[in-house]
Amino acid sequence: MKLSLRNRITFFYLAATSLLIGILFITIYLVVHQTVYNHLDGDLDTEASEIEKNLVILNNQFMFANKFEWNENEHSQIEVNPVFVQVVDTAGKVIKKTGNLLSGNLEFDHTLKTKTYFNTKLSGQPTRQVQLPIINPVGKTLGFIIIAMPLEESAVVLNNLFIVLVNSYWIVLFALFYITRFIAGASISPINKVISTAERITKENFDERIDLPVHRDEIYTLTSTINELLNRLEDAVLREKQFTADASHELRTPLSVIKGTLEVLIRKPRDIEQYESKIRYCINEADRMSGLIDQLLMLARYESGKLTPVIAKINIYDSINSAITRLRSFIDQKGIIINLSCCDNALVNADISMLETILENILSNAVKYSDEGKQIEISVDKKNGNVVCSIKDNGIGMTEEQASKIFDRFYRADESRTPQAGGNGIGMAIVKKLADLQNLDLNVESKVNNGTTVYIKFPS
Amino acid sequence: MRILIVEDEPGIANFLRDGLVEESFAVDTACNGNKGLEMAEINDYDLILLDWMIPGISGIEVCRQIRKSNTKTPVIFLTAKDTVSDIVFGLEAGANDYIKKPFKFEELLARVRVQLRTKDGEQTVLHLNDIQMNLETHQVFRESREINLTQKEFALLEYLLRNKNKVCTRTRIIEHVWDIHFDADTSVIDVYINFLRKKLDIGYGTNFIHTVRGVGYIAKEE
Repeated sequence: MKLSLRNRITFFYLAATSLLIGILFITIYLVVHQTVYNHLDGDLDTEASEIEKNLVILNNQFMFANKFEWNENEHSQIEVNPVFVQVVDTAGKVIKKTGNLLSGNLEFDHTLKTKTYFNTKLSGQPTRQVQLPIINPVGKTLGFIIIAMPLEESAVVLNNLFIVLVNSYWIVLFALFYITRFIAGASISPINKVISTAERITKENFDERIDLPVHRDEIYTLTSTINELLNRLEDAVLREKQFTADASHELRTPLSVIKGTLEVLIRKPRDIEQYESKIRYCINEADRMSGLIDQLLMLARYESGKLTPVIAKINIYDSINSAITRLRSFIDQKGIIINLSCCDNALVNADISMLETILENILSNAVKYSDEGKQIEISVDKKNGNVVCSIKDNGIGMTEEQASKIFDRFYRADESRTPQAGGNGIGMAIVKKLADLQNLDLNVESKVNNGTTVYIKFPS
Repeated sequence: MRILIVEDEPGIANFLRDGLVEESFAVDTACNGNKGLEMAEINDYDLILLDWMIPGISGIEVCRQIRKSNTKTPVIFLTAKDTVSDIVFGLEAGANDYIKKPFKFEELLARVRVQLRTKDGEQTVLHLNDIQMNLETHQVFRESREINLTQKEFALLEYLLRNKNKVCTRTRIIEHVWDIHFDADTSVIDVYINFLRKKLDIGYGTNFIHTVRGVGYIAKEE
């Protein structure tokens, strides 16, 4: 069943209330019904006990003392509160009856052996009747006293009550339906406001937020939760936008350089050396660009979560050596000396290819920002059960603020300082991403002109 | 004509400089905003090419600062920012033109010439007596005979013709025809004036570049 929240609240509320009111009305009716009959039965009892008082039982016979007024008004008339009395023997033969019964007799039910109240009719009129046996001292039933009173007034009262209750039941339900619908509508209207604001928010007005309600209720919590979610989304979208802008700038720049250089080159005839040097320059730029594209793709693959690390126990010493081997020509070109000290049995939990990429990127940065002939120290130690690898260079270093940003994509510490370094600002972002995937702890310590140390802490 | 390029990307600055130098401009480059502003304030440039996103103070700020003291020098923004609001913002900061990256070098050159033309209120062809100088095709004619000039000779002639009938001091010639890396030895001017005289005057008898002793040179209309 597809119902709106408002209608669902109305429906459930109405079902519950109609059930409760129904029970209440039935109870009221039953209580009144019972009271009315108790009252009637009480009257019948009074009359019965009066007759019994005047009853004289002799062995197998019974007779009435004279004191019982058979001709009292209530027994002789039928207009005002008449009481009909009839005495029958065990076979049902009328022995004696009051004058108001005229030609008719009260109904006798010979199956009833004890005192019993029941409803019946006398000349078409509803009556309440009691039938009680006349029993002699040895327990033999000699006959029956039957007393009847008209039920008409009580029946009218009960009938009226029934009609009133049934009619008012539907009216109350009807009224409740509209009231509940209104209240439900009013209580969910803040939600509708939340919905309409949320619908209005698009990429263009991402800074818009839903107004918080005055009262600190559930709607307030809902609204502020949605607002916080929007904040996080906006941050993510802005970061993505920034990334796209940075990426396109980074890709466009080498392209512009290649294009511009070739455009200038072709304007005039030149000698072969000039062509060669400019074309070589363009090839370098194109290489730089394809390197950047490779790294961007790698980062995108890692970030999309398609690659999951295969964690195994590996010897970090081998990984460091393999990273050094891969960077060998770059290291030799700058005359950098690498000192490697490694504790025994340096086994770490990591993905072997991811770890090698991390080490290669950090090491290549260390080489890049070191002056020629400087030393780089790599050491692996165990601290409190964790293996910690540190890569320390004696290069130009960074300020604390710059060090805190090096893992951001496309962040490069002051460009003009090291224009020849030619990084693309992606390497350390990849390092960070890979470290996160393998639960490695990264730490950077750096001082301007005093070198940089990167610590990698492995989980035990 | 001397141009300042403020651009942080060395590759772009390099080909711009090479291309413009070939067109006989004297070119200086600055790799960040502070350096660019400093150079623009010290030297007298005929045009400034300014990147928007540069380290240090931004291109916009550089442009505003330049405009505080100098309303004449044309400034052209050279940037990857390409929305209408960016362009409007850039032009309102005081720039004369706005070139979106990536651009074609030919277009940049044409726009540079437009700015220089507007600045001087001149055509792309300069005249002096029977000498005709076409700045776009880089050709010089005297009485419809083409004369081949080197870049520096061309730049020197262009400066003299743009300022014809006015005395060009040696300092101003050095400032506008040679770039900042040039050692301020003004005797080089005499050498190039001689080259020009040889190429342009020989066989015509009239001497159109006159020496103003102790001050500089003047190209006179007769």
